[in-house]
Amino acid sequence: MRRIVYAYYILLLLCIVIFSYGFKDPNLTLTSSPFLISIFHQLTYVVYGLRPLATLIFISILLGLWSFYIVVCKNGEKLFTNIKHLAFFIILSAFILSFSYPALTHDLFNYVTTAKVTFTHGENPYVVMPIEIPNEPYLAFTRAANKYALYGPIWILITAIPHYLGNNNIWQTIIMFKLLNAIIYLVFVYMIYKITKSLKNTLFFAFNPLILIETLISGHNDIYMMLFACFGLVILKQYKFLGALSFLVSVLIKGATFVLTPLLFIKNISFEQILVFSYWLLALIFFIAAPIREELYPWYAVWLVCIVSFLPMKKYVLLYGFTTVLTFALELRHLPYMWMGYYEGPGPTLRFLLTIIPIAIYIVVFFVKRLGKRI
Amino acid sequence: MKKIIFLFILYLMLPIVARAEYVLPYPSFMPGNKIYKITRFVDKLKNYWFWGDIAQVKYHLTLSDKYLVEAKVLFEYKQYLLGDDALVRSSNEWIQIQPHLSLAKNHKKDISKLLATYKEAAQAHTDVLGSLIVPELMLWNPEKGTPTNLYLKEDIAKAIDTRKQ
Repeated sequence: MRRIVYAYYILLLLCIVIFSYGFKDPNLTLTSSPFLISIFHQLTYVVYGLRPLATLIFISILLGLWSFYIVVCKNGEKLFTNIKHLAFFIILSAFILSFSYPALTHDLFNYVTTAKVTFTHGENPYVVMPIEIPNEPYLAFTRAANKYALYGPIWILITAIPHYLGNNNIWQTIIMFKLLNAIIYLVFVYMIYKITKSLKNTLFFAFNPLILIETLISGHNDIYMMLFACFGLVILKQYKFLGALSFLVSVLIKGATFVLTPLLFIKNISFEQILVFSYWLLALIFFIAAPIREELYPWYAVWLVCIVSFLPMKKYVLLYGFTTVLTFALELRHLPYMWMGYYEGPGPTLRFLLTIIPIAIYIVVFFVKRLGKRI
Repeated sequence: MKKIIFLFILYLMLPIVARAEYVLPYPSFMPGNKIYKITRFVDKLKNYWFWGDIAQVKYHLTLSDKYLVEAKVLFEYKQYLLGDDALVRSSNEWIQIQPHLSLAKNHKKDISKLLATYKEAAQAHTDVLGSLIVPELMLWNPEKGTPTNLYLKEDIAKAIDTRKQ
């Protein structure tokens, strides 16, 4: 039974990797191999030409991931009796997903092009936009090329690693970016296991579909910010300077963790309380500030999953349940665009409904159950 | 009547080229202001921030614009000594644009748009400089310090030449 579950998951991941190449930008040439080009051509035909079918495939993949996640969260201890097997399984999953195409976002291309502006063209990305180098070939598939660098200087420095390892080959660069993401993800998983000493917490984070999709497939950089923020919070009591430094690095990657700064100065507060405050402070940014600035992006929920994974599961049932349902609902936000091919029109309303309905159902069910127990 | 209709249709059919003019900035802090020296220091610091060929072109162009506007305002208020100093600074910044444009070109960056902006800026600068009304020669006699001869028209002519090169 265990082997069937393993095989099912690995097969599912391989399907995701293959399907993700259907989202390849038409202006992007990844390879000169005629065999691969013909496969990409067929996949992109499904995604861009048969949108309802593509959406259906994506829903099936999502349901597949979620069903595995539920099984793992409920029976993880039975499925992974040996911690080494689990570690190998997580590493293998991360490795497989690193080879996927960043299907659901264009942000990775923005990182890649910004890195090229900085390290190849030798321009300060905070004062020169990619579009100001009109003969840059990456402009053909980079969105938001008319913006200055959006993230902090530490992030720009980090991008030097995949940029140089990419060797000016776009496919190789994408893979390098994602392999680095996979390493950070694995470090985070290890940190959760090391601190909580709980297999359930580790599994909760490691197999969460939103974490897998947004970190390992789409390649968002939120995990870097959260790794340094959480590490800073963890060591803050013992190593004040090092903790604050790690926290500063986090802010200089992506500024969202800046809201947690007051927590550095509060005395007589337990690590658990810090985490709960962090969760709600980041939730405040997630639910209020981010939608005002642009919109509720699914990958911002990575912040909340990262924080909640350190909390004792039995004590914070509502928080865990809410985060799980939220991550499920947020991944549904990809569907309207996938189906219609544009963001406007009924898109915003559909995205709102797809997010709010599962959360509302969860809250109602939770309180009805609680009432039932009392009666 | 037919001619008018024909001309009207022709006017509608001809493509209209919409072009944004090069806009010089508003005057910044002027000499005498408490934070003027700070802004000058910040201007110098920014040089380190604007690394890269294109960034350097933008940096020197921005400063050249800024000091030109400063010079214009000072000349209008008959502060000739300060105005002349700002004009020289503007020209010095202008001179430094060309080498960075060449460097960007040598580094195989498409500078066509940047070059167009540079040319528009040169025209805007020349227009401003041409509109300045100043005496030919001015003996600037400060209360404390030695008098200075200011060859304002000559300096402006030099500045125009620099932009036209």
